[in-house]
Amino acid sequence: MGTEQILKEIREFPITTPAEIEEFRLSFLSKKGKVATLFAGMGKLPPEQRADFGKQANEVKQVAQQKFESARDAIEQGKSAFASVRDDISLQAPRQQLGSLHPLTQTLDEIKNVFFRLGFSIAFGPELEDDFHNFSALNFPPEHPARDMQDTFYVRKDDEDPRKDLLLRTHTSPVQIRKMLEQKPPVRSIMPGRVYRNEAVTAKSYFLFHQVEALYVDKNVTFAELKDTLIILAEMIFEKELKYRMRPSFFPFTEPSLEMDIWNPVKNQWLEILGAGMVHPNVLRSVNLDPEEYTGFALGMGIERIAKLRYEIGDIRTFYENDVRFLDQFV
Amino acid sequence: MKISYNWLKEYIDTDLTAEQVADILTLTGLEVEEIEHIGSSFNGIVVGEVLAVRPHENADRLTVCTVNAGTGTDLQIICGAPNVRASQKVAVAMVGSVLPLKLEDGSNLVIKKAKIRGVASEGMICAEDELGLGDDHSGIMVLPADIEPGTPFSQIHSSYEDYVFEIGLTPNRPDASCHIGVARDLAAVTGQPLKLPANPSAAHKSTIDDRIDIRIENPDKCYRYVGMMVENVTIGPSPEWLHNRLKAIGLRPINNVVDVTNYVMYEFGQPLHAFDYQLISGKTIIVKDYDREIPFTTLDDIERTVPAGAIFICDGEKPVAIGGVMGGLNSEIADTTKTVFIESASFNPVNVRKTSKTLALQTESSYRFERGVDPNITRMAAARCADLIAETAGGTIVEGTTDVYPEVVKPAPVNLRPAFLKRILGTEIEINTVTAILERLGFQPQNKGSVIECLVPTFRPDVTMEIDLVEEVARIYNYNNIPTTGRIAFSKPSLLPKEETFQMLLRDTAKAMGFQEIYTNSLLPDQIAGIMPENEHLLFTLNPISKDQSLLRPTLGYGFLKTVAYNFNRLAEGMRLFELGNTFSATDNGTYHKGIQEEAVLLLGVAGQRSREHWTSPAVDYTVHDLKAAFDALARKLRLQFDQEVSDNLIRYTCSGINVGHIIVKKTDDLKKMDITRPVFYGELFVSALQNLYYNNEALTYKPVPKYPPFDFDFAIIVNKAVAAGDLERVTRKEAGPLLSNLDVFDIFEGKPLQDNEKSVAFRLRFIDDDKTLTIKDVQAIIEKILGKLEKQYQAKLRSQ
Repeated sequence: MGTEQILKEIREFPITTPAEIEEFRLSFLSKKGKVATLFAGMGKLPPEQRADFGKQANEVKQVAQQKFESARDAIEQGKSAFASVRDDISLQAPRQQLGSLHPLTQTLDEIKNVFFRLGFSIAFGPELEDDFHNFSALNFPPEHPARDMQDTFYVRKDDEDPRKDLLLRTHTSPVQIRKMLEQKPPVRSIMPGRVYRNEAVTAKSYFLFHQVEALYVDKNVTFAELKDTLIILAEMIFEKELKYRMRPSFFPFTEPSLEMDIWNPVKNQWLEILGAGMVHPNVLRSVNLDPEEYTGFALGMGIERIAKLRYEIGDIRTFYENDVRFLDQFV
Repeated sequence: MKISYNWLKEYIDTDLTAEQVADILTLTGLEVEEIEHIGSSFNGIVVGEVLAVRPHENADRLTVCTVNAGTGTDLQIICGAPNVRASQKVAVAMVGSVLPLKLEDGSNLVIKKAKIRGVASEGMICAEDELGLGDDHSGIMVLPADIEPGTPFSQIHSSYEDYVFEIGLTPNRPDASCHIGVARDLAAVTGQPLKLPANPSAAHKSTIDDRIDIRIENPDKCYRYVGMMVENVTIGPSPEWLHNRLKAIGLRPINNVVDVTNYVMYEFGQPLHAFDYQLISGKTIIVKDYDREIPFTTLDDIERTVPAGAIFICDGEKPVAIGGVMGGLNSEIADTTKTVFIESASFNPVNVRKTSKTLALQTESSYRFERGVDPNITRMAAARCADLIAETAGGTIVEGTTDVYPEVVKPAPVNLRPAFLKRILGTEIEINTVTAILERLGFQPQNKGSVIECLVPTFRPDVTMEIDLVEEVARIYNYNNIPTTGRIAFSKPSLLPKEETFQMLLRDTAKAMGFQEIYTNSLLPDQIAGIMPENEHLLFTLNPISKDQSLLRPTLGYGFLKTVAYNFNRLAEGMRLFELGNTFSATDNGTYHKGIQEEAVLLLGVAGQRSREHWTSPAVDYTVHDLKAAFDALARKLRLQFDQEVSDNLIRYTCSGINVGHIIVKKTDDLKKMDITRPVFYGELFVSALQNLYYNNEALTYKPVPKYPPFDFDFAIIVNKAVAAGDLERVTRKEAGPLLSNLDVFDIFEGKPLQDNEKSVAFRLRFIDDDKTLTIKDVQAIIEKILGKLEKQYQAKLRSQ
């Protein structure tokens, strides 16, 4: 090792504690230290270089000695002499960046965990669907308004068989069809995902949003059991006992259908949280299940709607702007 | 749709309050979204005489009035109106009265004793608008001088108070788009009988064929057409009762004939149209469609291009109305009308809907026809309309009704098995309760033991199957009365699919690496070429909202860059973002659908500053190597070995020869197009490829940590600057063999004393042997082998001490 290198090491060696003084001494000034080693190597040099080298080695030794002594003196005078401005423990620490999940993911994760505890699995399907899975199999009559171009984004029209039209799914229900075609009952699963509606962008609506649906098909699934499931679910999701009501509603793929409201004592009003119903016999037939043998229930909720309720977010567009000042609130 | 509480009570006797009615309706499926209180009972409003006025000492615009309100004691009332004078008779709202005037929070104004700028006031002198009588707020109402003070205001002005329900009608309930329909549900719940107006149509057995000839050319688009006439009418304003009914539900009164057609529509749900008989040329009505577009001026004086196939009402020469949507300007009722021709018809819902959508014209009429109007109510509604026109506009009904009804629709039989009802609902409802509900809803149930036979009334086109009857029973029974047990049972849960477990793993890993998740738009502008890599396999929606949202995203990169630009514009300094989402492209095969490749992608991206300026460190910008570090860490997490192929601005990552992702270094010019001028790097990883590789890993099991200490060896080599350091690393790793446990590039250097075209790269290699402590003797040969290979392949020289 060259003298330059040793000098550099000496200068950079941090000494702030008595232990470090000793470490410094052992490393440079002891009998087996680097300075001694330097002198020992001098014998191997050609005689004409020795004088020069000796001079440099001596300089190194002096620097080391000086640093050692001043450090030792300082420590005898008291610790404060060692404190640099950087040792001020009241100084602000640098900001630690945190990773985070989007509030919609967080909301969905909590909903998922509730369903997982209630024995549901999970299933996925494409966002780009065909008419059969998105409409026909779900008991939408051929002339249903949802099939209009004004309501649904189409990607391909099939002139020969409208059931092969390709579109951006308008709900996650087509995954119910896929699941039932793929697996004989019992089917107990949720289907989360992104859905699309041809709607103007406002604070309340956006042309895409996210849903999670649940499907349970087996022998002897009843409306009463659907009610029990919904009550358990809602209380687990909102983590409290709730005042709720169920009122009849309409969806082509369930009957009887319902919507569930929970009471908001602050706003003094009912808030709709989900839609549900017994799987329509026509839907069971479309996936080759006999409605006399099987029954089932399905339910669905908007993840944005639940997240808006939880976090008191007024404008749905906030979710897709990804302002980091928004995301930072959900770390 | 608006329904009036007072009006409902014409068809059912009930003591229920408006709130109670609203709750019942909501729980039958007619959701009352809002209750509006309109008008006033004028309780607590009396006539007062202004005895004296004097200016308010603390306010220029206020007056202190002394008022005799017949109470025996004179009242002091502060008034702000410019027209208040002594000796006027005025309407006084006494303390405690509630005015119909709405405050900002939606509640009504309640009169209280108050001090206004230091002077006491005991009541309020009212303007018209404060009493709900009009919009006039220019001054107080001045009443006739001869009225005694203390007279209740309701004696000089008839009071009108009502509650209006805004009902969110589901598309399956066309029957409930009118007051009788809503009253039927209410009656079904309360058990009170439904009181229908006397059926007047029985009186008109003959036809009016001698006065007008009616034909339907397209019976598939118009199921029934009924015509009646009233002659010698006098067109004028409607009577007050009719005004009040229409104003309550938000309709503007027009004239006595048009108002009656609207009234009957809101009563029975049958849209009606009144023509001026004199303007019907050829005294002929032909219901027909055209195979071409037809320009037509509707009665709102707008010329519209009506699509081919729309059903029209035509006279002997021309179209006079768009069937089920809106009448024409050429035949509408005017002040001069003497003879009214009433149309009561039934149109095909789909045809009306298509016409209405194409014209972007939804009317009260089309709203109802789209949902389905009972073809068997047509004739009765026409007669009811004729009766009321004769009553309100004078005139006489022309004896007879022409009724063109090619195919009579009859109630259809549908059966309900009590066992099926129980199987669906999970509870037993007493059979008498079931039949009573069905009876009140008009299904004429016959209990045959194992089955209840029903006839579905034609106003319920939504009921066609047994399950529909189950819903009818359940909704009137009240869903909330179906008992629950507080327990649920289910069979053995399935395992979570790998897709779920893996995506959770990816999200958690990205989060653990300090990335923040974003959700970006899946519909992109059609012109992203030039910013994004050229892609010939783009997919577009056929009917985008606008060109800016027409392309199905082929990459998550665009959304990331948009997000970065958005945040830079808001002075964000640094970002570390990820997104997990689907991308779309056209392909020969396809994932779910032929020709469509839809696949999940994980995007990781960094932008701006990695660390901001702080006393602990200077501001440091992100480099592409920060992003590579994340890719490497992810690979480590997934226990996969990624290989890189580097070209100009692209690093392609493969694993076992499978393409798993890439990092793209965007050109400054491209970033400028996105309004970004600071360092930005992103990469994408293909989720399903990674998932397959990940689950091919051997199960994770513990391997003992090394027992023997490692041996570290440093060396630096000098190579030509053109040699990629990644290649040197790859060769070094390969030649180092199985003893190598870690390799760091711990220094790079250029400049003196090196040549201009040279650089130095320093490696620190750590070797570990599971069986012994390594010494330089063990490692020497490996190092020489590495150096030999590097020299041969890249002319690398060892940088000597």
